Amino acid sequence: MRDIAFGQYYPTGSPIHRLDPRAKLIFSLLYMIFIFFAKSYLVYLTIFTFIAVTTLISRVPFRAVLKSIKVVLILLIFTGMLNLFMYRDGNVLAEWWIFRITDKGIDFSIKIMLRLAFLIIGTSMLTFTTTPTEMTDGIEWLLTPLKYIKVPVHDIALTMSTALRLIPSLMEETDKIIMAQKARGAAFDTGKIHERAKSMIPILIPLFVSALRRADELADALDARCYNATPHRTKMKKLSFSYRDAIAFLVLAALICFIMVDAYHFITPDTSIASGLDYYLVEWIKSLIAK
Amino acid sequence: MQGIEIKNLSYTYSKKTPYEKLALDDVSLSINEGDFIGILGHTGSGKSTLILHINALIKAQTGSVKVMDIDLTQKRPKPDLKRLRTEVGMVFQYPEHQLFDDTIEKDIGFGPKNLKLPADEIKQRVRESMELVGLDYNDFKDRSPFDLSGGQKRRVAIAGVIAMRPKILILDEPTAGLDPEGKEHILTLITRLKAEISPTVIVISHDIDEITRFATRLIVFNKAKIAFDIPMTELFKHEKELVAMGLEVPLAVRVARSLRSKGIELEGNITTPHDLENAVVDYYNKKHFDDKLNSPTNSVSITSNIKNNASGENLSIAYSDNSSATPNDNTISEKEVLR
Repeated sequence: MRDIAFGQYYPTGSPIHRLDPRAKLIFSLLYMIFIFFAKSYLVYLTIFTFIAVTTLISRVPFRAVLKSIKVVLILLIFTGMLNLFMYRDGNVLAEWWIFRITDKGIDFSIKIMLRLAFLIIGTSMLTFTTTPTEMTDGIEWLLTPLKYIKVPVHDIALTMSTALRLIPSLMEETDKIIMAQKARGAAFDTGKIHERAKSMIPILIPLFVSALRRADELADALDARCYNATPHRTKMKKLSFSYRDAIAFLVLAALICFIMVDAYHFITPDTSIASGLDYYLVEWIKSLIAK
Repeated sequence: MQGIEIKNLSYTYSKKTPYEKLALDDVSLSINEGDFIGILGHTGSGKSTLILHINALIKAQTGSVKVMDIDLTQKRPKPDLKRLRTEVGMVFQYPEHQLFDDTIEKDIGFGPKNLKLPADEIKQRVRESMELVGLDYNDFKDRSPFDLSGGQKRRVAIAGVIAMRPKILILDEPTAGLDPEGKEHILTLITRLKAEISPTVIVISHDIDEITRFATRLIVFNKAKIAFDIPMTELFKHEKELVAMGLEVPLAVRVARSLRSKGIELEGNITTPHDLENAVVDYYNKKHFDDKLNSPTNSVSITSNIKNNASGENLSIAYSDNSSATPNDNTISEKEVLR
């Protein structure tokens, strides 16, 4: 129950951890968008290097990062398979019923799997290096423009941070309730499916009761401390951009430029399956061999 | 064997993560049938982890755990956990947080029902358990457990555990968060349960005064290890160690020490308020006897009233001396004595 790696903060105090959370959020957003423009394998290799170096700097062990992909591995394989069998274009290598494997299909499904994997590793890098509190502070800042159209941005941020804060507590509570009911002879992993569903009741009801109780107590505590008594709340920890964020931005900007130049500058003939810089690389190797 | 045998048990939470924490460090322990054990220790000293092992709610990482004739650490054949859980009853902290059914009768019957007992047997057990914890069966059986007061809810939850008729009963902070009256109720209940249902009782508490009142053996945990494991009567010898670990020393021990330092020569080993009361009465009886020898015309009456309520504040020793014109009420309150 406690070993869910995805989205867990991993404290090491590295330079990546000390980046401004707002910067990290924006960078992750940019990264997520531009990863979908990646075309050639050379670019994928560059993105891979980028992630590997980031991980090294962050000092989060590779084991923990890989664990975050494990969660979505099935989804990844499923997407890959679907693209592999359903892709219509290109030279047909094999065909059976509605399934068709083409050279372009192989190329495309490998790339889509890589993209998804990079996407997940990249975003889990954000959660590994940013505490939930920092994250909500960052999101609150990003949403500031909405304040002008009367969106209660601060309340949204507070709701988010309380929700995040309660997750570990509720997990612990679940663990305890499961143990207590087990101690009274409850069995959760035997019997038919409707019996198993029924066996969840002794866990779910106390869990809901305790969630509601916690919410009630929290609301009282907020009221007791005059939450919302002043319109302009100040922050205990002020966020500030530093030279570190600028360096990180430059690195990311270089990566994005490379992705975009590869995708739109190096136009390749339709007849080749190699795209972007790959085509020129292949041509260059071919000419070397010819010589 | 009827007791519990634990050998070289170690346990680490969240292994191989930055949150790694050693909870038990090479702990060996044997508990005999009929023991009444109090376990004392700070939060995170490993006491809760230990009791979770006894009910196989967490698997031992290294070392072995044997409960009665069930070896929990053997791989093949797998230990009979179902039987284990009927033999070992476990009352967690805030047990009322695990109530779930719509009537008290059903909630208490959850355990026996899991044992697949016949319906009339379940009913019988529910009725007995309810009477044991002091809830009238006819009055309460159809009420919702969520409508009760905190103390009553806790008693329902405890009834749910004792309906399993465990030979070994483990309670984790059974009085936490209750008012003094609720605490008294639970403490009396525990003594009664030991006499009538479960011969072996283990109670975890952070309140040493509570433990000294009934437990006959004391185990103190400190930093994932057992600091000491002694008969309760030897507790006064370990006063300094308790203080060094930042744990409380029982009120009676502290008061006895203060009285002695003020020249009141109390005799015997004093651990509980009861010991203290006897020692004080003995002392003044003796003094009375000596006084009588000196001035045989005076009559002296001594009353000793030592009450250790749950808050531990109300401890007074009073004696009055009728010889003077106005009764000389001499009350030594805890605060005075400890100054």
